[in-house]
Amino acid sequence: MARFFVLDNVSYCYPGSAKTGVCQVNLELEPGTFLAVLGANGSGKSTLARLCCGLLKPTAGRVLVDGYCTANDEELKDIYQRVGIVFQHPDNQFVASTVEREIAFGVENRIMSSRAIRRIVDAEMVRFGLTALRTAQPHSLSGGEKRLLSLADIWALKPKLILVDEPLAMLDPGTRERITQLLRDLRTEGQSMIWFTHGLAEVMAADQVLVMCKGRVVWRGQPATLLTMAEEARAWGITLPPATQVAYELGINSPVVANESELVSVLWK
Amino acid sequence: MEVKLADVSVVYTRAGEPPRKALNKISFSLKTGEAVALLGPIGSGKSTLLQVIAGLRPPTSGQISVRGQDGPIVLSIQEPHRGFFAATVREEVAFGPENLDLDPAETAARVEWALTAVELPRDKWTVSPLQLSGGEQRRVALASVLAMKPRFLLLDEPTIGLDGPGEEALRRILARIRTETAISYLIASHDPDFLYALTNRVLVLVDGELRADTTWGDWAQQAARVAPDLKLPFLLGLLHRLAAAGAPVNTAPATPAAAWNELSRLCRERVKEGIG
Amino acid sequence: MNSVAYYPAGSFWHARDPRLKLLVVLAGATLVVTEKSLGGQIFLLALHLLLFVTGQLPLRRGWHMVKTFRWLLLIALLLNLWTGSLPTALCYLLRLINLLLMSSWLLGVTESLTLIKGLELTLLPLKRVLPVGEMAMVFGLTLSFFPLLLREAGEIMLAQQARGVNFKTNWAKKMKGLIAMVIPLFISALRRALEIAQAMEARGYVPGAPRGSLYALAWGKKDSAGAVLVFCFVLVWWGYKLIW
Ligand SMILES: Nc1ncnc2c1ncn2[C@@H]1O[C@H](COP(=O)(O)OP(=O)(O)OP(=O)(O)O)[C@@H](O)[C@H]1O
Ligand SMILES: Nc1ncnc2c1ncn2[C@@H]1O[C@H](COP(=O)(O)OP(=O)(O)OP(=O)(O)O)[C@@H](O)[C@H]1O
Ligand SMILES: [Mg+2]
Ligand SMILES: [Mg+2]
Repeated sequence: MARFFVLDNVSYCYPGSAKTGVCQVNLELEPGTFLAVLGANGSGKSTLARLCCGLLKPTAGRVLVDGYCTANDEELKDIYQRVGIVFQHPDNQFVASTVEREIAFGVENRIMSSRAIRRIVDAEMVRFGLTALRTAQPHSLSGGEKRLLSLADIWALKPKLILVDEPLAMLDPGTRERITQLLRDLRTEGQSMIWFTHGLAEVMAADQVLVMCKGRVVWRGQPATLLTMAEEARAWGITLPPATQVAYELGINSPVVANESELVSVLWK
Repeated sequence: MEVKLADVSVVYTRAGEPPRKALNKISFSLKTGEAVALLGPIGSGKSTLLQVIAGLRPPTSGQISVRGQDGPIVLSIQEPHRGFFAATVREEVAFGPENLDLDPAETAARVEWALTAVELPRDKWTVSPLQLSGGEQRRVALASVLAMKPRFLLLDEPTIGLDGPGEEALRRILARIRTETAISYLIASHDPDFLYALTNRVLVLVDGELRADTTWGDWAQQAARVAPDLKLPFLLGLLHRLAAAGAPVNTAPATPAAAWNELSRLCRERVKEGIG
Repeated sequence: MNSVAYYPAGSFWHARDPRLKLLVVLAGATLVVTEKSLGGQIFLLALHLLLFVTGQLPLRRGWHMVKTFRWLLLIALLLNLWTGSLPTALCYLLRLINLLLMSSWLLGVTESLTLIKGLELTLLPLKRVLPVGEMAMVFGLTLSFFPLLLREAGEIMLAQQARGVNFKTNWAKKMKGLIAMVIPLFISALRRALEIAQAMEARGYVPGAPRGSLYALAWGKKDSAGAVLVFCFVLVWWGYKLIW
C-alpha cells in the first residue's frame, strides 16, 4: 500500500555548491504523525523542508505525497493542496498587502464564497490574536506578530501535512506555550506535522525524531531516548531541555529528567 | 559615555487604523559598562526602542541625548537577512569596519576575528550571505557588528536561529569583550536564560510602557504580576518552584552563579540526608 | 510612507471593481499623454487630486511620490527648457507628475491581487491568443516589484545606518553606500519576487485559474455608471478639443 508521505532516497545539491545540502534521506509517514527533525545550523533542515513540499526538487530520489511526485510539474498543485509550509523567515511567505488578505490568500485559491472565506479568516485572526491588526501591512508587523501571521496563513488551509520550520522563534514564552498547544492539537484532528528545529524541549511530544548532521540523517528514535544521549546531542548541536541540562550539571544522572516538574521532585521530594 | 532618554514616545500611523503608540514616555539612561536586558511580550516596542537609541528612528516626542560619545553605537537588527547586500560574507562583515575608516589590514584582521568568534565554518566566508542557512545568516549579522568593536552594542533578538553551540559562542564572546573593553550592551530577547547569564540590569516593556527597571533578583519577585507571558530564566523559575514546594532556597539570586550555588547546596544536603 | 503601497480604507474607490479603476487609469493616461496645453494639464492635475481625496488617500502620499522621482523630473524639466519654451517644459513636467499620481492612486485604492484579477478579467477576450493568466500575474508581480524594491532599499539602508553609514550628512559615504547597494538591491529584490511567486504557488495559486475572493468582486450598478461617465468625459474632452 502506498504510504501517505514518502521520501525515497532524497538528495539535493544547491546549484554551484560543491557540498550536498541534503543527502539520501529516507522516510515514510502515516497520517496523523508528528515527526521532529533536529539538527545544528546548516545541517539541512530548511532544505529538507523545501524538498518535502515541492518548492525544491530533489537532484536524486523522489518525494511522494499521496502518490503524487514533486518532480512532476503537473502534480505540484495536488501536492500544494496537501502540504503547507511555515517558513523559517516568516516574511518570505507574505504575498498580500494586508493581514486579513494575507490569511485569505490560500483560501481564495480554493474557490469558496466570500462569506465562507470571511468566516475562516475571522476565525484565524481570533485564534492568533491578530484581529486588531486586520488592515496592517504584513511587513510592518513586529517579529512575533509576523510569526503569528505566518502560522495563521497555513492554519486557514488545514493541509494534511504541515511543515513548520522553527515555529517558536520570535515568540515570547507565554505565546510559545499557546502555539505549542495549537500545534499539538493538529494531530488530534488527523493532520500530520513535521517540525524542524534544534531544541529538543519543543518536540518532546513527537512520535519520532530524526537527527540531521551535515545533510545526512544520523539517528532516528524516540525523543525520550535522546535525553540520555547528552554527548551525542552536543556533538550534533542539539539543545537538550534546560531541566535535563541542569540535572546533568548537578551530577544527577539517573533518573533522566525530562522537565522542570521532574527536576523539582528529584531535588525536593 | 551615557545615553539618556527623556519621555521618548513613538507613534506609528498605519493606513486604516488609529495611531498606535509603540513607545509611551520612556525615560532611563544607559552608562558605559552596563549590561542590560530588554524584556517584553511580542509587539511591546522592543525593536522600536532599539532603533530609537541607535538613532535610526526619530522619536515622535521626547529627547534622546548622548554624552561623551567615544565610539559608535551599533545595532544588530532583528531580521538580519533583510539587510544583507554584499556579494560575499567577508565583504558583508568588512562593511562596518570600513565605515570607521580603518586601514585595510586592521579591517581584514577584524573580519577574521569576528567570523571566527561566531564560529562560522570557513568555507562559508566566500559565499553570498543570501545563500546561507538561517543560523549561519544570524552568525554573519552578529559578526558584522562585533567587527566594529562598538563601545555601545544593541542586539535585537540575537539568539533567534542560533543552535546551542552558536548561542554558547555568542555568550562567550560577549562576556569576553565586556571584561576586555569598557563596552556596554543592551540586548532585547525572548530568551531569559541567555539574558540572565549576560546582564545585570533588566528593563521590561509592556504595551510600550517601561514597567520595570531593576535587577534579576528583584524581577524574579514581580515577573508573574507585571507580565505573565514573560517566563523567568530557568534557574530562577526552578528556585521559585522549589521554594513553593518548601525547599529552603533563596529565590532571588542576582546572578546565575549564585543560583547554581543555591542548587548545588540543596543537592549536597539531599545527598547527606540520603546517606544519613 | 510608501507611495505605491496599498492603502487600506473604506472609500468609494476602494469598493469599486478593479476593471473600472483600470478604465479610469487608461482614460486618464490617454488624456494626460495627448493633452498638450499647460491649462489642460493643470485641469487634469486637479482631477487627480480629486481622485486622491475621494479615494481617502492622504495628499502627502502624492507629494511623496513626486519627491521620490524628483531627480527624474528635474532632468526632464531641464531638457525641455533646453529644447523648448517654459510653458511646454512645465506642461511636460505636469504630464509626468500626473502619470505618477495616477499610478500611486491606482495602487493605493486597489490591492495588488485584486488588480491582477481585474487585469485577467479585462484581458479575458484575448484568452485564445494570449496566456492571459500568466500575463496578469507577471504584470501584477511587476507592479508589486516596485513597492518591494522600495521596501528592500529601506531595509538595507536601515541595516547600513545601523553599521555607521550616515545618509544625511556625508556625501562621499552616502554615494559609496548607494553605489554599493544598487546591484545587490536588484538581485535581492528579484530573488524576493521569485520567492513570493513560489510562496503563492505553495498556497495553491494557479495563474489564470478561477479564485474566490475575501471581498466579492461583482460589477455593480455604480461601476456601470462610472464606466459610462468615464466614456462621456473622454468624449466631451475630445469633442471640446476638436471644436476649439
Ligand atoms: N540558496 C542556497 N545556496 C547554496 N547553499 C545554500 C543555500 N541555502 C542554504 N545553503 C547551504 O546548505 C546547507 C543547509 O542549509 P539549511 O538552510 O537547510 O540548514 P538548516 O538546517 O535549516 O540550518 P539553520 O538551523 O541554520 O536554519 C548550509 O550549509 C547552507 O549554507
Ligand atoms: N513600521 C511600522 N508601522 C506601523 N506599525 C509598526 C511598525 N513597526 C512596528 N509597528 C507596531 O508597533 C508595535 C511595536 O513593534 P516592535 O517591533 O517595536 O515590537 P517588539 O517588542 O520588537 O516585538 P517582537 O518581540 O514581536 O519583535 C507592534 O504592535 C507593531 O505592529
Ligand atoms: Mg533552517
Ligand atoms: Mg522586535
